[in-house]
Amino acid sequence: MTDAPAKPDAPGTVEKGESLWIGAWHRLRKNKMALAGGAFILLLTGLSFIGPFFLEHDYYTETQLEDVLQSPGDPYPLGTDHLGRDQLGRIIKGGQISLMVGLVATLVSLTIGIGYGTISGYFGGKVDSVMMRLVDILYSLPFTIFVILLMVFAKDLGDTIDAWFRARGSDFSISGQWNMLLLFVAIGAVEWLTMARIVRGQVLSLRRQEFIEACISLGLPTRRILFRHMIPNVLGPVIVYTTLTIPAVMLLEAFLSFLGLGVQPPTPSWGLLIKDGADRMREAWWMLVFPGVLFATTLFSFNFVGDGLRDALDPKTSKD
Amino acid sequence: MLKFILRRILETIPVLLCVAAMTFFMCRLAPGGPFDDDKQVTPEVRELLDKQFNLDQPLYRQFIDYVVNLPSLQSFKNPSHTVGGIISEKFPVSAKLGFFAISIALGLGVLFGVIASLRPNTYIDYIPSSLAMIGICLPTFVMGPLLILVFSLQLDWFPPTGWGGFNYDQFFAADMVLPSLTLGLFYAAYISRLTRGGMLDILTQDYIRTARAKGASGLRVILRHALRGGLLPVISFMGPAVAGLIAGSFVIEKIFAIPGLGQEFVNSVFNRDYTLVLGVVMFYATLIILLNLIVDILQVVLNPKLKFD
Repeated sequence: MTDAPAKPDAPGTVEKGESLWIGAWHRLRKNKMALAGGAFILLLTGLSFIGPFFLEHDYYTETQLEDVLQSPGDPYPLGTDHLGRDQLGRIIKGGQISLMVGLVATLVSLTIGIGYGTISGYFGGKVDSVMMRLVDILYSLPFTIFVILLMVFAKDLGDTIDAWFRARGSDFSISGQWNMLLLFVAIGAVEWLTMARIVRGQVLSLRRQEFIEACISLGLPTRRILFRHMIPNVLGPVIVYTTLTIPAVMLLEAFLSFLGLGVQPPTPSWGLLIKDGADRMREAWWMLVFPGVLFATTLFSFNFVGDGLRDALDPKTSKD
Repeated sequence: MLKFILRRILETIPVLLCVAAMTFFMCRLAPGGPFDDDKQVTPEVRELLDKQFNLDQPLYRQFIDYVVNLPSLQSFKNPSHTVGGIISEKFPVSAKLGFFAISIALGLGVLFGVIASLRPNTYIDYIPSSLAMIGICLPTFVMGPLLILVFSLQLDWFPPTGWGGFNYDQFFAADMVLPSLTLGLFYAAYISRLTRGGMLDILTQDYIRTARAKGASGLRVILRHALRGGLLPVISFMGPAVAGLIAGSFVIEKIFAIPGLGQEFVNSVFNRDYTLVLGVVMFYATLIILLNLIVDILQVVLNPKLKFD
């Protein structure tokens, strides 16, 4: 409410309208913490996806037994782990995995949440009350527990699927990527509930507005109204909530990896690195502190960007 | 109100049945079983094992059997113990951890939140608010090891692991400090943010001005008039917080080697100890639903705008 874009005060000048997105950008630009967070995320993403090409050795899986548990110093800027692997390389590669899980699983939850919420809000009435009651019930379930169950019990399903294809003479193999795939699905399947609620609320309030009524009276097909007029209008809150879902998803991935249920070694993820560090913090503090602090800073940044975007896109603050 | 409670409890039954079915069939339809990891047994022994644990029955019979006899079923990996016995032995440890954690969370969270809300956008606000933000972004599995690193290994104030062995006589001991703090601080941070937001909304209301105008002291206005409304967001957060505390206990009990139900559950999943998994999941689900019901009732009691519908 405080930072409104400067308005021309002189009489006679025509006030130029500002689109929602330009206005939001103006407000976001004033929020230094959100900008810093965004810059940090961009830097981190760049580093973890381009960085691996610049690492001289394939340190992240290469074990060097004579260099076990080296403290940070000359050849290894962030030290080495208990198998003599370069921590810098592992943190970069681990960041890539953690960010990727964060993005893909969020995308999964986004798709389910928007679809479910739009249908429920648009059709309303009986459909809506049944669909939302289901969400309420799912909310009250111990979902982390189901993710844990799913991660353990569906672990060998990849091999079963491979065997099924092999029996039919196909070379198709999924077991290599199965664990990651499972992680995406399991986390995505849990995190869509809040998204569905938000989208439904938005759609419900949009439905009563004149331009949607106009669409209906013009006889546009439902599909076109939904995709062309509804979904673009719920985008603001969805973007905000997406930036807040990514850290939640990364947290869940790290939680699972910490329990030994998520990403499987030797592939590193930040959760796994923190687990290795916690196991060995007596001898090697650097194994815990560097990934831990980096992980916390990343979550911090995503939350600041999310909060900043909410302030920038919230219609309450955009009215001045 | 009685009608509301009764209806909610009745609604719980199909939900719990769904949880049981989902858990049971997820366990049983997945490849692998509790006796697959052990060394190969002869077919005769295998047959005997299957008979002992009813694994030779059709699946739906097993499901009915599981649901009806759950507390008295044997654990697969630990056949001398029943599911009910293991839960009643391990849960008090976890419950104590949860109790300390929630006390820390509510105590610190509400205190800092109220302080921050009284002087918004000054340093008195910024310092607790940024501390809270840090608390939210430091996950328990980073916070726990870091606290051990600083307070046990460097300063040597508290023991790093253990929970007084199996000694339940003591209500409190030094080795309970770090685990409770680790679990509690995250929620303290969240609660302080919610309290600040809630209080800021309330403190600008007319009735607070009225209370001030009629001469109530500052402290009385906060404690008697503002907190009741300002804490509403905190109360509604307590429902999801309980589920989070349970998940958090899995990690905390692992880090600090606490012999509680959380660790027992994770191990039972790894071991595919079907009976114990189902038992603990049902126990947790009932606990969460029950505590959510209490939270819902509290909300209506504290907020005159809401009614039991």
